[in-house]
Amino acid sequence: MSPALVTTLVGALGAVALVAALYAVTSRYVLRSVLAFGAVFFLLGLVYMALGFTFVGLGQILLYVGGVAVLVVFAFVSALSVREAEAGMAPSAGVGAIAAALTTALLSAAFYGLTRSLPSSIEPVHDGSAVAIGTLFLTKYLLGFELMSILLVAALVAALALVRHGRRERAAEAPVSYVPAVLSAPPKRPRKRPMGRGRRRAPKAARERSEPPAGEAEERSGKPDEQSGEATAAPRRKRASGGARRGGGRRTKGEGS
Amino acid sequence: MKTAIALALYLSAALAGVGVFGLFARRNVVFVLMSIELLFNAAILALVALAASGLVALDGAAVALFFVGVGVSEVAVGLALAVALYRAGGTADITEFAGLRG
Repeated sequence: MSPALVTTLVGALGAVALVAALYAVTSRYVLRSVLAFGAVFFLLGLVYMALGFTFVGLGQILLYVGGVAVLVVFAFVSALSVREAEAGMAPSAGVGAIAAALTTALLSAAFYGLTRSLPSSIEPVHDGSAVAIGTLFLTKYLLGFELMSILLVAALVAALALVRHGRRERAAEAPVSYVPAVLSAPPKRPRKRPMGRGRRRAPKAARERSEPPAGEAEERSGKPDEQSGEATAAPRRKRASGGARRGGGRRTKGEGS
Repeated sequence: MKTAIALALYLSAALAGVGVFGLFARRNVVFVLMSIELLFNAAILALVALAASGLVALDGAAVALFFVGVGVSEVAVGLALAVALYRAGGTADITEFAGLRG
């Protein structure tokens, strides 16, 4: 790439990345903010590629966009819920603006001095490839490379341990079922009851009339067809009040026979 | 090429400023974490730009990749911490974690 093209690319991509970063930091919308962060990381990866370091840019996009941004979205979807108040600015935003201006000013001054000391003609890098960087990893930075793998494993295990530990503590305090209540059947209910209910419900005119207690009482009688008449609706409802006790008694009888 | 490197360096300075602002201005722990990532990325951008300038040769790119790895593992642990904090306190608002205040 010609230097002019590199300059244009870096300037354009960098400007968009800066706007996206500002939006990500100030937006009240969680998902838009996270996506803007992802866009910043992606654009920075493109900037690295434009500067000649394709491998670093690819690693950046792979890890930051594919890893970090997706992980954060996943955390918001699965575990965290954001209240309205949390989406806004903290009271220290004014201090933050001053600190940000100071940081930018100081770093810009330092970089200004640095760029003045650079030689005026710089050749674009052509050896920023995976081969050159990989060779460097396996020779000069071998120890750091190995430590990095240990760090990544340790971080993964630590993340798992932190999340699982919190869950176990909470489960010890108050048993929380992660299965929806609809799916987890109470243990004292006999096994054949749901089937009976399904069979009974289909053809009955009693379906729109009867309340759930009535339905359960009818089930317990075990003879659905005889009780479909309208005359039995009232007794059925009456029996429903004592349904649990008698149901239990009947169950033992049924098991005994 | 020198202009491109200067541009990248100034972009790095601006990104660091935005990251610092987010660090102070955000209430949600996860976004504070992402602002730290923005600071990380500003540093990585400066490293890559200096590597492109030939000032630190290819070492800048290698160290930049190390930075990417460290940043990602930091997010993994930080997110797990945020989830644990959220479960412990019922909120992810960083201004409500005042348990150590005297």
